[in-house]
Amino acid sequence: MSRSEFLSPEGFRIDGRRAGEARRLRCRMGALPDADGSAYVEQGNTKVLVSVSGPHECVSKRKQAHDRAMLTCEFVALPYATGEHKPQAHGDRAAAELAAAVRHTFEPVMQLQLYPRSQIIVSIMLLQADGGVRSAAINATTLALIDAGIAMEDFVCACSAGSVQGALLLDLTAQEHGAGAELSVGLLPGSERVGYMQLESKLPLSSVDEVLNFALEGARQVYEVLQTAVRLHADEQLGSRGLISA
Amino acid sequence: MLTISDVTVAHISKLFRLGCYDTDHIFRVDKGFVAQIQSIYAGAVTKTLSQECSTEAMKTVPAEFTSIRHVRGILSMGRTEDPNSGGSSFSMLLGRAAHLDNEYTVFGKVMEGDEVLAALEQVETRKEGIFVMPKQRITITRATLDGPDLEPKLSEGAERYYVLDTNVVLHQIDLLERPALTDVIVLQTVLDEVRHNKLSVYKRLRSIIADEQRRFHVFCNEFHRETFVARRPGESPNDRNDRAIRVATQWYQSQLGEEAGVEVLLLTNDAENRRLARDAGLKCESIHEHVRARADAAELMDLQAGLTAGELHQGKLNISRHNSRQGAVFVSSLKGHTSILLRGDEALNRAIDGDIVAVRLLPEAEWTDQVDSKLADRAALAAADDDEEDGAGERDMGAMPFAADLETAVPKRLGEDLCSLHEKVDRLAFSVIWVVDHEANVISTKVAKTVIRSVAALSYEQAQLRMDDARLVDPLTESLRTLNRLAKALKAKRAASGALSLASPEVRFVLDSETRDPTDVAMYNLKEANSMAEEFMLLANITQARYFSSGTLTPADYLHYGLAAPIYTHFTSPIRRYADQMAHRLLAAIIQWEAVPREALDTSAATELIDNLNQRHTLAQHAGRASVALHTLIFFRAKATEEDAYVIKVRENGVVVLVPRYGIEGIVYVAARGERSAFAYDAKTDALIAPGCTLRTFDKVRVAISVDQSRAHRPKLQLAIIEPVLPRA
Repeated sequence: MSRSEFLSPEGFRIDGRRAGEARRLRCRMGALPDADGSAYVEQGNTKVLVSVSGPHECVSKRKQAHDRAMLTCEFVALPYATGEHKPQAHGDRAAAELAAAVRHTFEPVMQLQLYPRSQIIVSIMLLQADGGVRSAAINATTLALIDAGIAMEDFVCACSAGSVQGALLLDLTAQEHGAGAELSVGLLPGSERVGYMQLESKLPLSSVDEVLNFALEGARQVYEVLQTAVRLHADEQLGSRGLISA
Repeated sequence: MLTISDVTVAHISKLFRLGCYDTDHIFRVDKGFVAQIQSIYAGAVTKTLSQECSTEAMKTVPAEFTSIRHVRGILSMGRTEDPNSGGSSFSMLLGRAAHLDNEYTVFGKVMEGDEVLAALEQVETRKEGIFVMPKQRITITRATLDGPDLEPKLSEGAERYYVLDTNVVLHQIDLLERPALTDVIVLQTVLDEVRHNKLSVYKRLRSIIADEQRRFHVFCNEFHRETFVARRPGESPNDRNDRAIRVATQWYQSQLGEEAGVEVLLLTNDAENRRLARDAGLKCESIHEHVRARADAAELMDLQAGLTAGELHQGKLNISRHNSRQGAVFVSSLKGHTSILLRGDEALNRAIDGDIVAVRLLPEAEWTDQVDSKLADRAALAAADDDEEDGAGERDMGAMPFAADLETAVPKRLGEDLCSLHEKVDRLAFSVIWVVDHEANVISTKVAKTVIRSVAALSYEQAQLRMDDARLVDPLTESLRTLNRLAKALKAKRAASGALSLASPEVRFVLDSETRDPTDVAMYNLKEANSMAEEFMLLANITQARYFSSGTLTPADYLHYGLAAPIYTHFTSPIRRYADQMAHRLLAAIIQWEAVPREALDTSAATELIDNLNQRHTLAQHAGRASVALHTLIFFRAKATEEDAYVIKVRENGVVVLVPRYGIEGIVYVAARGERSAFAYDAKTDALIAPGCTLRTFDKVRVAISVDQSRAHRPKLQLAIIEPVLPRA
């Protein structure tokens, strides 16, 4: 038996959360003043900075589309993002995979047809990793794209849930992730559709529904936080331009 | 729990505790807004205001504004324009009042009794300026403060909560498992430490917590804002945990307030932690101090208490030689039953052969054959310190009857010459001298150190021949005959009082002079002369045993049931057994020949020594049997034999048979291992029954004897019943 107890009989997780509690989500839009759009998101100890550049001319003319903007995503994890100092190898498959996942998630949500022959670049930088990196990256990308003023049909709010030693947990930390199966979902709250879903490691088919619903519930909570952040940010922006009186 | 307005809460609580709000009234009922309670002053209340109340009510509290939304049920301080003017008037919100947010101090919320607010809204009101007031005075008859609503609730009659330190859990888990200790708060800090130190103890603690009767409650102090403790620079994790435990204890104490008679007691075995706790004003004790001070201390003390109370019985466990999952405990503390059967792993509770165990009897209704065993702390109960044993005591050979060679326990000259009563030689002896009548009734007895000269040294056989030869009438033969007559009378008397005659066939191997391999088996042939010597030996043993008193057993236990003698002590030549040596020394002391041996005065040392002797004796017997078994194997190795045998015991899976010709016993299984048996055991008739074949005790069968050598170095004598033919399933 593992010496770790992921959910104590009192109902507490190792970090003191209850099973259905997400970690504190802190976000700041416009974290990088010079970027077209940016957002910094902290989900517990997972910290992600996303900057959006564009829409602008395509860097590579060969790849540009005449009827829509080209979306490029890149993901970099800082060498010190995890416990050990590990410089990201060139052509890191995990990084490329994550970047592709973000691109595939956002392409259908963004109204790319509004920006023909242009390019939008999303750069995700992972400052610190403690589980839920995908969710944090997606949430931060949503905010950064909104900050950049790029037309979108909906938010994408991501959260993960998992089954660890038989316990259903929301928003897994790295430690919990290592001990069980984790399902990340990206919810489009406006249309109640799922725009992204990824299951890592195996999960019994019978419990997929349960875990999925748990994750979606978490994503709805994330939506409230992101929405508030966007409102506050918009208020600030409008205020700073003298459009509304404080 | 959030504390948002400490000062206000303390102030209002005090007013409630003093009963200041009694006979005050609700002067304002503004439907959808607030119901407000009048400030306490002489005109507002109808009773006489105590001095203390008026002083307290005059006090004001500073503003403690928050962004908590003013909604129905919120309790909010009243004030004048000065934010720091909160006194004793407060409002109960009847609806949302956003303009009060961040402007008025919220200090509480209506948890129960919304119907009272609803009723207030129904009263007839009139408007007077900005105030909407009830037409009739709404008096508060009584306003009290409930005692601290602490979870967990203290059980009935209990005076304190216990908080345990980790060291108590780790080292006194057995004590905690006693049901006497209840109302315990188990801190998360302690749980975590225990888990990291010893998972087994953690599991035991968890199962105590799971038992609701025990009222062990977990408090997740690490996740609680007010009890969380951050490690200080330079502080060791241990010190931090100790501090966390003290802080949590303090927190509990402060929650209780000054409620009479209820306290929080920290139990810790760490003197430093105790000192720091006392400095912080906490009540704390070590577990030892606490248990000793308790009235029910005996209940909490471990096995010793149970033993003293007669609930538990102590004895030595003997595992059955036929079934490793069954054993018997021989106890002396139980009247009428000296042997308690333990069956199954659960009842044996990890005890192994030779352990001193404490057993608890099952309710009599379940006395088929099971008792529950509690494994005693072996170190505590069997505090055998072998080093202190007398060397000779340890070497005691118990007269090992080896089949081939004789191992001697004392030097040859001593054993074979000086201590042997050779013919016509003076020898020092210890004699019992009886004067008996013709019916062998003992008239007088004398025990003395003597010098004797034997008239003759005869073997049993020679003595027998002399007695049987009618032609011999010499004094020696005649005296032998007299002795024999007396011996017969003695034996008859013993038999009349219920002595058992235990005869198991004893075999002797005839060894090949060259190879020392057994070539034949012969029975020991017992003659009348053997019986004669035996009878007088017994009489001597019984006689001299009367001199002894035992400190450890009651006289009722002295009875030797096999010999039907009320008292018995082994007393033969001291060259064979150390026990005899002890008996000799004691006897010498009793007849005041020499001083009392020092070791005989120490009961526990003597008990230990005797236990060792008994163990040696048992081992010697086992060795003897093993020696016979070995020679049996060698004997049968070369020749498979068929022989008559008798069923002497019926078991569920087979029968134990005795082959009288060779004196061997063995079990014959009715089905091979893993095979289904054609036989069913019938407990009523104690028989194994299969279609066409029944095996009962004393049934005569024919068995094939062979040696199973299929396992290297572990040859085994194998018996198989060949007549009757056993059906297979």
